[in-house]
Amino acid sequence: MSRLLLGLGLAGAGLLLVLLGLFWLPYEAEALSGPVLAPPSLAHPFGTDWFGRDVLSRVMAGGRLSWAVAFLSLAGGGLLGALLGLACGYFPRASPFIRLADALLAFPPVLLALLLAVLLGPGVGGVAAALALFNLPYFARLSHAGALELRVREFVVAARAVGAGSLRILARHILPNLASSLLVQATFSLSTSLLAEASLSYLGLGVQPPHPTWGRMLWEAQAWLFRSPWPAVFPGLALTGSVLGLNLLGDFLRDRWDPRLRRLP
Amino acid sequence: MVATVLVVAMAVFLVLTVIPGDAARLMVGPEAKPERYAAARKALELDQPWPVRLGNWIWRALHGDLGASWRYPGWSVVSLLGQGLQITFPLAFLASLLSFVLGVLLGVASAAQLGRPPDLLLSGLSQLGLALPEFWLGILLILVFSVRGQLLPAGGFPGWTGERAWAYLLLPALTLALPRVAYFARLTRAVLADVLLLDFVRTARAKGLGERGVLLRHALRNALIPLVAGLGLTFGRLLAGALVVEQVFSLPGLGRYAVEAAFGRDIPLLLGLAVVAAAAVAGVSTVAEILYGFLDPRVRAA
Repeated sequence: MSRLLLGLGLAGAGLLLVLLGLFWLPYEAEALSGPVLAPPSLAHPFGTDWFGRDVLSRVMAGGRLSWAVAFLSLAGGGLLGALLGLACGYFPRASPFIRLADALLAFPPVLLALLLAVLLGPGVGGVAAALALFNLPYFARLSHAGALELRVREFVVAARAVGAGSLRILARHILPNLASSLLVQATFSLSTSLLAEASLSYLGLGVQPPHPTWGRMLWEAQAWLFRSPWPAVFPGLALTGSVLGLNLLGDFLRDRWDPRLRRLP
Repeated sequence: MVATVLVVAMAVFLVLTVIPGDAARLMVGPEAKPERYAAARKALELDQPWPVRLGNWIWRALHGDLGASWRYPGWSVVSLLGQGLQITFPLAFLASLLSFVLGVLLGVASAAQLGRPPDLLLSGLSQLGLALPEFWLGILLILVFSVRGQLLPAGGFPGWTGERAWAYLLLPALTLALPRVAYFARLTRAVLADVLLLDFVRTARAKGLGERGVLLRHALRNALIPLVAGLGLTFGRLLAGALVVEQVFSLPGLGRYAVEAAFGRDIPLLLGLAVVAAAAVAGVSTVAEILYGFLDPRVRAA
């Protein structure tokens, strides 16, 4: 129970900070609003950076793209992956195509993200597409296994016997049975996407400046580390908190709904 | 093993030939004369269809020639990879060893007293290991050990002939090792928890062996195979994926070249890196499989 609360609290705080930032920021994200490299104070709770910009405002604004990319890539990868997996699992003739997902899994993850980022180019769309391909195989494998297992079960055979078409069976009988495990995977995928997006923008291969993202802010702040640690501490804290919260939430949901899915160490 | 490497190389080659962007134009500049541009295209074999290029590339690769880098004119891919490995290999080695030793110690400690403080530390560590971005952990370690403590350098590398060269690898290795400690600790604990219920452990205790002797001399041996497998996996992955941490500490390793190659669309170098990554993972698991025979006589017989 405490895991649920902690997870919801951390991930919720990360997301709320960003959602609130859509409507209201303490200062403009790019405005020079205070002294340079000030430590946290009442006026600037997270301190200021090397230009005198408010770090809290930048964290709130920087999370927008991070979360947007994470959600976009989750939606794209999850949808395509689930479709691929369901099709390959349900229609025997399509089954060889599941190897596509296996091939994506065989690459070292960092290298895959790097190659995809090069291939698809920088910018929100490119990064989201790259991370969608990154998420796709997990959903494909999950729904493939589920469809394979469920298509021969009595309730599916019965549905077919009373005249239900393939689409209806997939949508009304198979998918609902997979929903909980897909949702658990979605939570974990959201957290890995957040992390991967931050890594790519840290490397400079993600969303391009001037848009702040948590990863890019950390890269810029590292150069000023010897002058002031604060600009490097808070974006990282927001990122780690969000990811940790999502993982805890995923752990909780998995134990609650799907004990078979226990993640191995 | 050779097959794996070949398949990965071919896949990457095919993916990279689809990349939009004209490498020859990039090389000679936008205002070059048509003749120079044509010459560059010819030199890069861009005038050939891709099956021919793929065939040529594989043929030369089999002879130990991975082509010339585009990003670093005058350098061959093989020599760049060699340079990168000089950093990345020791770094990956140090990091896997560090996480292995710390992980096994923690695993034994938590198996010895299930459910008490080491166990809590372990589950906390594994959650953090999954959630902490490596680059932020690196930055935090720099803050603690370089900015506040001024004990270790914050980055860069003076070359192996330089003074205290190894010190420059310590923080990066620690950054890579910490998130992986929980992996080895869980592995150790899982095996120990199973083994400690077996008869031979009861016998060892019955003949008067202390708990430490039971754990270290009898039980831990059974964990060696999964641990060595895990060590191999970790080492292989680190060789291919120390990229972000090398960037944090400005280490000129394989990962640095990978990022530079990605920026510069240096396709020969990217291909070479993919080959090294695939070879590292495949090679390490082959070595690990050979080691099993030494660690467990039962495997040898089979």
